[in-house]
Amino acid sequence: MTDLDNERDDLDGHTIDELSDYLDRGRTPLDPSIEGSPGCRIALSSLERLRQISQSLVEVDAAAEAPRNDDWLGGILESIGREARAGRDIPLLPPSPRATLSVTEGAVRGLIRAAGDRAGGLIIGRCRLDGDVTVPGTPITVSIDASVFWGERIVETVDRAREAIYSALLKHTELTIASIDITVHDVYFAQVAEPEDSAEATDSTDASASTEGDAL
Amino acid sequence: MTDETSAAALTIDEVVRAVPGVTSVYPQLPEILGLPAPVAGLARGVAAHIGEPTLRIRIGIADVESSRAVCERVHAAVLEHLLRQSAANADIAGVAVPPPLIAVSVVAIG
Repeated sequence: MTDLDNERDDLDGHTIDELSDYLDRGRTPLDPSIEGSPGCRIALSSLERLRQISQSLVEVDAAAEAPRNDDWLGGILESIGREARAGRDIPLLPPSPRATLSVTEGAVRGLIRAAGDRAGGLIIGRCRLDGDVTVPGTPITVSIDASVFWGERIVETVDRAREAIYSALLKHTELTIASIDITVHDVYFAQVAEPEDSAEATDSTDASASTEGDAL
Repeated sequence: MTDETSAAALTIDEVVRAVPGVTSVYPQLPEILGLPAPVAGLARGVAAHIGEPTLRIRIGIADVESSRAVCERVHAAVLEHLLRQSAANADIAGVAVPPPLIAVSVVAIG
């Protein structure tokens, strides 16, 4: 099976390219096969956030007159497509023996991605839940690859993302989180515009990282 | 038509959509595959014979309340709807059918 086949399976027959084009068209005309697919909806949300961030990167790059390596963007797009699939069912305690309640792994990965991206200063690449999420009480390790933007204090940025992700997981799942491991793979020369209310939290300009695209 | 009868006439989709916190209701596999309604019905019938009949509901929710809170509300609303329908049918046929298992799954958040 090719990567494209896998991607189509994950996104109910669509590809990330098709979803990207659909966003370009302002989601018109409305495509029921996309809007009716949870995988596509999760991927669309991730793409929209990624576009906002990458737009900021392009503007900074243009100002600095430095060419930008787009490999990282391709990697993130690939992760969005792969991880939007439903995956395993993560059980919630049912209110009666005649009911089962669950959250899909795809929904949780989308939640983690959104929480991490919203925390500011980094962008989530790959995200994985290690451990048997289908058995309540099993210790689960959340493994995340991320890129941090130049000018951010890496340790603080990662801690902030970890707290946001943990809080989102506590709110929506009953997983036993053993750890949230965030590995920073790249640092990029860009500063993402933050919401006004989080200006204080991101007011750190410690240049403790390498330049654009340098792997740590 | 009384309110009771109107409520019983609602579809499961309509009942679920009306639950606070639910942003979308996703179709099950036969609909996703675009199968014609009779074939989709047949597929569900086969599935029901394999195991205990289960009503599977897939929802998208807002990232406001916990998944559990919304799922419990959906479960309660659907169960109430099914019991009402069952009572209405029992009035006509004289036999009350027990409600199926209800499985609520959150497939998208936010």
